[in-house]
Amino acid sequence: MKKNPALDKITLADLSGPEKYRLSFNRAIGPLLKSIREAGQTSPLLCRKTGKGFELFSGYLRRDALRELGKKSALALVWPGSALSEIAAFRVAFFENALTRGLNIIEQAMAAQKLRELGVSSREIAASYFQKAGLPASVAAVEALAALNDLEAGWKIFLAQKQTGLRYASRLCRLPAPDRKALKILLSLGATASQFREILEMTDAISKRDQTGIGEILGAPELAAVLHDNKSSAPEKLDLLVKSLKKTRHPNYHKLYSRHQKLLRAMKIPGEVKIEPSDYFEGPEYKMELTLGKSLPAPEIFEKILAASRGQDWEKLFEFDDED
Amino acid sequence: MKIKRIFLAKNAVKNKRAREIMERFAPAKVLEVDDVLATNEYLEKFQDPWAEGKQSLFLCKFPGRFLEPCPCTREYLNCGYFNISPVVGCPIDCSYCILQGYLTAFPVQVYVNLEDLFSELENYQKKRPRSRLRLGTGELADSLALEPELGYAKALIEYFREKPNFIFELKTKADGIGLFKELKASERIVISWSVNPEEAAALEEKISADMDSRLESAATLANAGWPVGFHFDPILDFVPEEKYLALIDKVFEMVPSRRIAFISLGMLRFPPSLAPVLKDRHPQSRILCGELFPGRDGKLRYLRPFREKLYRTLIRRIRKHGDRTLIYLCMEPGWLWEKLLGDSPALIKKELALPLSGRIRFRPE
Repeated sequence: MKKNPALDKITLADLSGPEKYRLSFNRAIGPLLKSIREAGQTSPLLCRKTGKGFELFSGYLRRDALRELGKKSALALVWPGSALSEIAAFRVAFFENALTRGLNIIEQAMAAQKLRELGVSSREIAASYFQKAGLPASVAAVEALAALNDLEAGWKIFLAQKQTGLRYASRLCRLPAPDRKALKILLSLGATASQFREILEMTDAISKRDQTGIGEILGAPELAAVLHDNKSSAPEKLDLLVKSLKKTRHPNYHKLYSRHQKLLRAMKIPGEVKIEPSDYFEGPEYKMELTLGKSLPAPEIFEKILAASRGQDWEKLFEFDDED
Repeated sequence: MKIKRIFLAKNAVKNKRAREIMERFAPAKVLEVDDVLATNEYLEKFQDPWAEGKQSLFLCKFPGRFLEPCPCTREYLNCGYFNISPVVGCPIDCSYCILQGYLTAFPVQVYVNLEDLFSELENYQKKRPRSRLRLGTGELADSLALEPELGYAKALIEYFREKPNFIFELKTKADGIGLFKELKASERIVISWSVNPEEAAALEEKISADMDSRLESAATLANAGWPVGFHFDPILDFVPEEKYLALIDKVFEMVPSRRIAFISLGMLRFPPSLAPVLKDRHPQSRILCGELFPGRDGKLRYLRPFREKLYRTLIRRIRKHGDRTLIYLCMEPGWLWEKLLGDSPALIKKELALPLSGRIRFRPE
């Protein structure tokens, strides 16, 4: 029997496209439609010929585009089914996709899962597939990727669109389902990738620290007010959410900073002078920034700073009592 | 400690000490390898190469320098310590351990050319006959976790016992002190324990001895005449202050203060690069829930006013038990040492490098 593939023209109606080989997720079909419309089909579909007909294993998006354009037939590179096992076909599909167009994180997850279903161990997936394709190539990474398949569709789309790395995708995946559900507000608000990472990081830490669910954190009055404020736009809500979460995440820092500001007010430090703690209060000193201009009353400003430095509150800037 | 496998470097195949170590550990597997890269290649196949590495030894000869000043951390005050590292890596699995982010090799590396370490120390002494050094093996390893099978603690004790210019410290989270039974106490050998309230140790210091066992071991050795030390390090913000105070009380209840060579205090700090490792390897850890900010060395730390307040409270309690107990801070600024400890850092460092009997200010009754 002939073992090499042959280029053939096949009828699309005779072509089955089993999901077990599919490696495209959330791919825009528009550019491909345009290209086929202008230049015709320039790459063949890859398929196996089995007793049941033609079985597509690579080129799902091309197939979909051809169908959408009303084409009845397509160019295909056809392997005799006996010459190309299912696993070998998947291997061709994997490298064809991974090394040419690249796989987004959900496609990587699909590849990991499908290879496991074909009986390939995580170790082999890492060494014989992912490493060669320049993808995360440890056993732990393969397993973390495979677990992403259980995520809800909305999250999968988000992770693929925002090109989220495995570390954060995997953290999201490990959250209890109610926590993930609570975070879905980020999808509707159109969070950016960095907002997603920051909010996930903060809510996860607060949840662990306070032994509470993310739903309860986001449902706290201050945060709920931000999220349900009809006057704010989605980007404004996200900004406010990040700010409020920072306060919850770092209560001691905010307490210290509020105390600091209160002291400055009590000392009547003029607005032209900024006195800020250095390195999050790490040092025993402060940075002072003074804005001077021709029309500003410089002697008065200096007098006020001098007066403040002689007052009782000045000392408090540098000493934190036990009750602080 | 159970050692599953030993990697034997080609340059150590004929080494007598390496053979003895292998006999004593009797691992299920011995693999001859070219270098440490080959050990990594082998261990990378496992889901958690670090965890496997902790059950593996790599025996080889070390061509470099064994004695190095402790790098401490930039912008903060060092305590004048020197490290000697015949072992690099540790079978204990603390969540906060910076070695996870710092070391490039998974297995515990054991350097079998101890004689080179001794000759390096001899040369150091010849060149600086009047210099006094405080040094130890506990910075890149646990000094007792692989004992008595490894045999290094005993060899080092026997060596330093005769060296009046050194204070040698064995620092550990283990409780195996059998090897000391046959040894005579020396005032120049300090055995120290890292301590934390049990709830923190149970959560963050996997495979270590529980706190009662550590303290019992310390008490046993102190009562046998050995000077002992305690490192309250890393102090963690999620443990209530009262638990630290109770631990201090317990230390002084169990261990005679006249045998306490020092107590060090150090609050959690680690390079940000450790955070992802910590998250992946220790998902139960509460370390990353803390309110951590970059310090002047770039490491993540608790807020200084919070650290200052807690240190002050702990120092007060220690001083209540023993006014002349030497306390020092680990990786904190010099001005904070002076503010909280009252003595000059220079004096503290000087007396740290002296045996208890040779001290003037810090000689507990």
